[in-house]
Amino acid sequence: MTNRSRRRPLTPLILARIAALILGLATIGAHAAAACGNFKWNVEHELTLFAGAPHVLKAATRAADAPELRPGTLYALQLAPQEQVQFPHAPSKRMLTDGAYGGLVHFKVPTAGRYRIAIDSPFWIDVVDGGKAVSSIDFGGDPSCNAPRKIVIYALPAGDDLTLQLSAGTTSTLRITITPDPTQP
Amino acid sequence: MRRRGIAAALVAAGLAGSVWAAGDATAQVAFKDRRDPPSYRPLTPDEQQSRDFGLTIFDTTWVAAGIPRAARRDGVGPLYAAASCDACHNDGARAPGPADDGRQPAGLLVQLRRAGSDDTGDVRYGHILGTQAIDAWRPEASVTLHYRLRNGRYADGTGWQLREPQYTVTGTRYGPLADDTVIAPRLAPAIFGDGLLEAVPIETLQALEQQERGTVSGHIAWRTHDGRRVPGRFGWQADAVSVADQTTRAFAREMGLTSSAQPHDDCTAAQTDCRTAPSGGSPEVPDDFITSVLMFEQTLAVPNSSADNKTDGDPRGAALFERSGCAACHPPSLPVRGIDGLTQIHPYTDLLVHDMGPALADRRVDGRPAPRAWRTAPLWGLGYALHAANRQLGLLHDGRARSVAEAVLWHGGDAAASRAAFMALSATDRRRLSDWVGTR
Repeated sequence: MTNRSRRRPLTPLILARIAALILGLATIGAHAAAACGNFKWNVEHELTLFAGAPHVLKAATRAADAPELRPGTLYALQLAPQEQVQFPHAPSKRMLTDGAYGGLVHFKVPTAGRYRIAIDSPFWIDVVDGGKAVSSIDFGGDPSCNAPRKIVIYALPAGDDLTLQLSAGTTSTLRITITPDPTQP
Repeated sequence: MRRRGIAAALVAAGLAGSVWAAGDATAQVAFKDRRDPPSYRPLTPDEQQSRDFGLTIFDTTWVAAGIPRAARRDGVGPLYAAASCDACHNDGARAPGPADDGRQPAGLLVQLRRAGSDDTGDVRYGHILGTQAIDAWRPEASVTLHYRLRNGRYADGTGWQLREPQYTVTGTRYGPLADDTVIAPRLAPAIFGDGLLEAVPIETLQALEQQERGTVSGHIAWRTHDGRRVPGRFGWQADAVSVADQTTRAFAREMGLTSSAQPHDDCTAAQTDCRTAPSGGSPEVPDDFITSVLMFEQTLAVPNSSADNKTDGDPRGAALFERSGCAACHPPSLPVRGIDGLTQIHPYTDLLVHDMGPALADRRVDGRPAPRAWRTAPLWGLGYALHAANRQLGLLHDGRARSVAEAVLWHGGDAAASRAAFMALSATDRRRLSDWVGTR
């Protein structure tokens, strides 16, 4: 069977459906951009990931038990009351943590470079490499957006076992992605 | 005779002598860890403990009243502009400002003021437009900005382009803003050195007010506070009289958190739902929290422009700054009183308000221009902001200027002659002057 023979004729009904689909996608895109238009970078990749179904994982309270996240995947982390979390490095921003949630996960990046960590609610993020907190390069957010709300950019080495500390949040779940920074030089 | 009197006043106020003379001890130090900005003076263990707790409060993200287990940090909003001090003054630094057209970014607040009043907000929306709200609440409104580009040329023919912001307020949920409400976008400034600016004697400000400085005519922004007439020193238009005044106002108006000094947040009589919303306590920010936050803020040093601080910039830039008349409003040195080991600081401000011309004036809702008096913005710490922060930075009260040169080009009124002098400089000298300012 040739490709030509598989193709169905474009009837007015099919054309109308295609037009409606394109229009619908364009509208969704426009709404997403309008609702999350306050980031200083292009965040289309994050918006696409956050629109998908997340892998649900329980973040750990001890580094030894922390599950591993894969870059390019959306996760929904279940977090613990922060007082139960044993952070390998004290959170680098001191805050009152009454009622806060926190947790620990691990991740590795395949190639050295800049990576974005995107989250959907206001948590403090630390990346710890060999017991030391990695300084962030930049950060940005859009309080009116929750898909994602905040993005922090780090320069990360390839292959290191990195601990991601989440602290000072007010929700017991958190959606998160780790993606290469598309703007890196 | 009058000049002799003024000279005597300047000597008495500690302002006489070369403006370029090096001071004694310095309030500007290297910031090794931007998340833990240092004090300008040694602290006792008790002071250090209080300051550390103050930084903790400063960084804390506050949550809605009633969140389980969140007793010490609940009560934000329900309508607010920011949920933490740090959200706008990140690590004590100024907010970066808008990158481009779009929604109002974090750190750029929209203040509302009834035209002709010192401190009366909009009848429906109060003093700050709450563009954020706790869960299940809708913000007061949304603000978007659009830049209109203005083109011009320096005397040497080089072109320049400025961006003039235009603000649109939509989704006003309590009805329209009053026609005579002034829309006042304000970028969160750095708070470094504020405790030192507080220590500049009133007599110095009075002497500066009296000093003959060509066409420059600055005034003390007298405010009535707790029944006393005192100079405004803080805020883009010197609205606040002290660090405590500025801080408790920000807690109340920008975050919706009450304190002993500000027992009411920014809910108006028209906002009955806001007024009856659950509270995080009475007050929501206890006195010991305020005391510690003030200990942190009032002891903050000013960051050097570079980590090693080995250079003070090109002296030719300094000469151009003085020759162009910039130093008339941005005097390099001011005396301070009551601080051990420190008698002089170098903030590059006279702490007076000046007419800055029509281009910078706020607008009322009905489009009419508002008064255009601005406090001379301190230039110290600008080098840190421009270089160490390593991010895009907007200058002036609303972040519209993308460079020192653009900021100068927006100057008018008292500073019109300085702007004209800058316009007449060669490209090399303009760069020298801008670079020098950018290393303060």
